[in-house]
Amino acid sequence: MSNRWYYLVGLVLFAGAVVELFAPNTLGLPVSNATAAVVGVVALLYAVSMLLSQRGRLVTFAATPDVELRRPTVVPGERIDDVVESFSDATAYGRSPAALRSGFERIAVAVLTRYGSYSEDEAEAAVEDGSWTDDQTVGKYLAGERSRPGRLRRRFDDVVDRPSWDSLTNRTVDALRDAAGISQNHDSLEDEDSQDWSTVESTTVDPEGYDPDSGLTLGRRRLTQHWTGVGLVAVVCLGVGILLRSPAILLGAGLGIGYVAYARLPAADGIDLAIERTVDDETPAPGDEVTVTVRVTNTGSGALTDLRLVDGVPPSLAVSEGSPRQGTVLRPGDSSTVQYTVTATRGHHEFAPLLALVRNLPGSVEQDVYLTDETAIDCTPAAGSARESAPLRSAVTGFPGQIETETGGAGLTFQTIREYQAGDPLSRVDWNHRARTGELATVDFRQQRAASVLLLIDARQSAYVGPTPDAPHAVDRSVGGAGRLFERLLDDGNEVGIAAMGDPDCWLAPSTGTEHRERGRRLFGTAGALSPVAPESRRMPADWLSPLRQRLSPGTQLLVFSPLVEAHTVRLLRRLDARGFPVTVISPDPTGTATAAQKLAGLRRTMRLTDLREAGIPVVDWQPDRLLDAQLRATP
Amino acid sequence: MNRITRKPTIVSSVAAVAAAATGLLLSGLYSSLALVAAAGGLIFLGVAAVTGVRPLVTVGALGVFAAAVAAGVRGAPPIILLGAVLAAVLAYDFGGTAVDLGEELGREADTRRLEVLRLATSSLAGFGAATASYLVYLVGAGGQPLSAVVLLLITVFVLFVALRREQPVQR
Repeated sequence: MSNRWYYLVGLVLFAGAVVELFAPNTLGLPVSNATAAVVGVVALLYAVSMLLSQRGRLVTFAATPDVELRRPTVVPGERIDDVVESFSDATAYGRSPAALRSGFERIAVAVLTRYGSYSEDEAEAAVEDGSWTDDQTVGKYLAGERSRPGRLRRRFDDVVDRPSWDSLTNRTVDALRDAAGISQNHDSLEDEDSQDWSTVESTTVDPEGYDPDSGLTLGRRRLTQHWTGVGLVAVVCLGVGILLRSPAILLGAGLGIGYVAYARLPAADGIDLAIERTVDDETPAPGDEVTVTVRVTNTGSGALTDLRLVDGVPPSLAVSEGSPRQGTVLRPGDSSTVQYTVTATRGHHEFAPLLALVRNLPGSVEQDVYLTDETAIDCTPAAGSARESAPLRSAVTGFPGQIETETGGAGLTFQTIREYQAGDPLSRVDWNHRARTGELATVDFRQQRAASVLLLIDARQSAYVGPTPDAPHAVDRSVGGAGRLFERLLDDGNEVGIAAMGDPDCWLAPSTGTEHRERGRRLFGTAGALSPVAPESRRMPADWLSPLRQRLSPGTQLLVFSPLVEAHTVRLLRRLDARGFPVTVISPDPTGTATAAQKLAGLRRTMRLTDLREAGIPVVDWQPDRLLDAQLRATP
Repeated sequence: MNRITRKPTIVSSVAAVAAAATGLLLSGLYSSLALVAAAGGLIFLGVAAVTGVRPLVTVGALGVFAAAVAAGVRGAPPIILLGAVLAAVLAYDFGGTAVDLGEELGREADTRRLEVLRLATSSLAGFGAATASYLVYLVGAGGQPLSAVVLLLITVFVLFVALRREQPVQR
């Protein structure tokens, strides 16, 4: 029945009431006290039906993102099954507990043959009888003597404090890491006051389908159900008032009806807002505090009585002071200012649109409005040169530099003493030798030559990982380290270039000179490929690898920064190395130790490092809590 | 920087508790049952203001409303009863506003302008409705034929149902 009929019936009833009021009993209605009671009961029944029908209708409001926070870093190793599967290229293990156990078995064999003094048969036998580890429970489990306990059994185990299933998985991973020689004392990474990141869903305003070219986009509109239930006041008062014949209680019904009508005031229409966002420093240094000022003006014709603003802080920046949110009221032409401070970090940071939630006067309708003002902060890292040089390979150019070659000549490091030849410089004649034997001899030093080095930074989606959610991800660490080595290698007279794995547009050919250095610094600061936020899509190796190969000149060394979380990275680097581009890897360690899956992912990565080292590629395992300089000094 | 505190905003929470306390004072004078119900509602609202659990606001406001009805049953005069019902509705509105403002903007954000206006408009709407009903009561109280009163009440009921079916936006 449409509402028109209700109003018609209401009108007819009202007319009848007026007639009865002035000329009682003209209509001859059979109205008695019982009829009144029936009306009261019907009203109460209606109240009950309202209650029942509203159980599922919850109050709704916009879930605003945690714009104050930096986007949490992904920690590799989400599910143990996936990590176990990553150990094998071909076999799919499946997801059952038995498959998990046999997966562990294979990992154990692989670890023992690689890091222990076992042959494959011996390793299999050792796993079979559980003698490979000191942890007997784990030994028995992998030997198949201890199956996954049933639910009752697990309860029982909990009660008598025997190792539970989760702790068994954990201990197995620990035993495997032990066998691979990974030290277990990384647990100090977890901060005492670190936040609970599991509930952070989004850290920036991320509208679906907004128009970035126009300043204002209307988003979704929702009924808030804020006044749901106020109708109950009306019907309950009506019912109780009639039944008890109490005019006072009946009056309450009038109040309730008033609010029900109030809640149905129309939604705000013709919303028009203007935004102006300014930052006090568009090119800060890392660590600088940048003040952001957002001014929102009501350019429409109606007053906005309930305006809730949430600014689109870049996901890669954290708010350090003030709040990027405000609840305010704007008359036409009025404006309001939100001011807060962010701490700058390296990279190009773009602001997302501001989210304005506009409610109507009673607050029963909420409209999402996105306001765009393109603003960005570009933060270039400070130019600092690393104190330690990178462990370069012995491929060199014809120019003098810092790499010691096998060729004798002028230099610093003694190589050999040979017979004097005409034309040898007097400074290199060994006069002690002459005094002893009467013959002339020349000292040869190792010649030092420069290299042509390309800093290749892994900036693919998979590289945006780190050991804890609030730790910097591997790409940030890589760029930081590469920036310092870039300066150092240039200081040493090498030709240095920059490229990114995953994006062919990021390219700086190896060269020298002040201008080149400046261009490199800018690239580290603001290149889109080295953005502090992970790219949306994965890119195929073909997209970036072939252009890279074509650009590389023969003999160029590759200094690769990669967390090595993808299996095919190892293959790819070995192939590049074999093709005559000597590869050195500096790998920021992105693996966490909070869960068994994360620890197992750490083991997987360690095995990849071993693969590379066995292929003759030097690898620096860059620990999360260390500066690159310290790590290079510690690595022989 | 830490996350924002997604808890009910202070101004609206205080206003909600104050409204509930007013309801308790008005209806508690007339019935001990009302006193108990309103006190319970006040406690629920207080807890809701700290924890931000929306259903507690509803339960608390229901307690204050039940107290008002109980006072009415015990013969509270219309003015008092209207005040008590108004207090219950306002406690519900303020409490709900505090919770969803807190969820959306957090306690750190500046929301005073918005809250003050919201408190004022909701109260005004309530005073308007209460005054209108009271005027109807003053004009039409006593001596009306039963058939006319019953017909009027049915009219009110039918129109109320129609009103409830309306939405503030066109779908």
